[in-house]
Amino acid sequence: MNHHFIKAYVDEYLSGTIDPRDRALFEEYLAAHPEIRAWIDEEKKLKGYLGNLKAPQPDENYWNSLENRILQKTVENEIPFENTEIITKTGKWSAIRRYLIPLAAVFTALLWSFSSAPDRLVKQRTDTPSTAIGEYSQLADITLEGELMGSAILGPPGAVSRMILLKSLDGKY
Amino acid sequence: MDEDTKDLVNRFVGGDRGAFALLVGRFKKRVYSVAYQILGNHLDADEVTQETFVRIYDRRQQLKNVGFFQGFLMRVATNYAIDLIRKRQRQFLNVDEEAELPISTSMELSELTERPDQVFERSEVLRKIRQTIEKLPPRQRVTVILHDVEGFTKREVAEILGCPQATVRSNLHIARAKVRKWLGFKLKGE
Repeated sequence: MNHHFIKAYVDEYLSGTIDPRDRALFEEYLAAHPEIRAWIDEEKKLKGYLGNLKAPQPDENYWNSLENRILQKTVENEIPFENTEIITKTGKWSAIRRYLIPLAAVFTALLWSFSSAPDRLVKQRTDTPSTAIGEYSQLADITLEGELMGSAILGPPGAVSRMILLKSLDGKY
Repeated sequence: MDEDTKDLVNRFVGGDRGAFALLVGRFKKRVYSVAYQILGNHLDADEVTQETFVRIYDRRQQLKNVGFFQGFLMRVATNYAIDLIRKRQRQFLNVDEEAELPISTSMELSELTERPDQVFERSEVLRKIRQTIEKLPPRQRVTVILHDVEGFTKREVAEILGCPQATVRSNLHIARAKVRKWLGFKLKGE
């Protein structure tokens, strides 16, 4: 038994949970060292004061309000389990809409550019000979534009999808 | 963990919101009390209590492996409280850990009495003790509060703080010694 042992087990001694054999040794040591006894007495008083530091107790309205706020916050932060499937389905449809509609729009625009550009040009070419050259260069731009869009959508020249499309448009050119 | 709490925790982990509400009802006062003791004011204690349960709710899957629910709860609460202390210290304070309290707060413990007619003096002592506790570094403060004020055992405090029991003992002695020093207590034999 020494000073360090006393310090380490002072709580067990004060709370009465120390082993009975150790307690006897503890008290024997304290009897021989009054300064340690005085220190333990002060430790006991300090612990008594610390044990009396009570937090204020708010009224029941506060506790109810606190509980409601906690439950409300957990609800706000979470997607309810029962709605997860619906939200997933909605997500799928919105994803389809997100990609399909623009793709369809591009495809329609491409078809329109292939089919209507020559007709417009023929109509304009008959107006005056002087504007025909300018309109021809416009046709070249439109065709190039269509070609580029076609490459982006249908793949490189020679691709099967490209050949099918060009064949279907063949009569119009 | 008693059987009733264990059952509630299992139901809560399984997605039963009603079980969570019952756990909040059962432990909210304890969490608030610990938070108040650590932080010393109602607003912060309220914030810690609310945030603790929200975090527990978000991390409920972790509770599957938890044997001591109250310990887990206190760990979340004390960690958040320690974060708040550090945040407040950065914001407003420049605390010197070894700084002495004003002379007027010094006193001899042996002069304090328990007589009913000195209730005011007693409450003044408690107020000063609280002031000194608030000057302790966060980990020591939390250790003293959990053990000496809230009555958790050293083993439970070690589990809550995630440290060995020897560290808890050491922190307790250091913290109490500082409290005595700051309050002006003279320990004979030291």
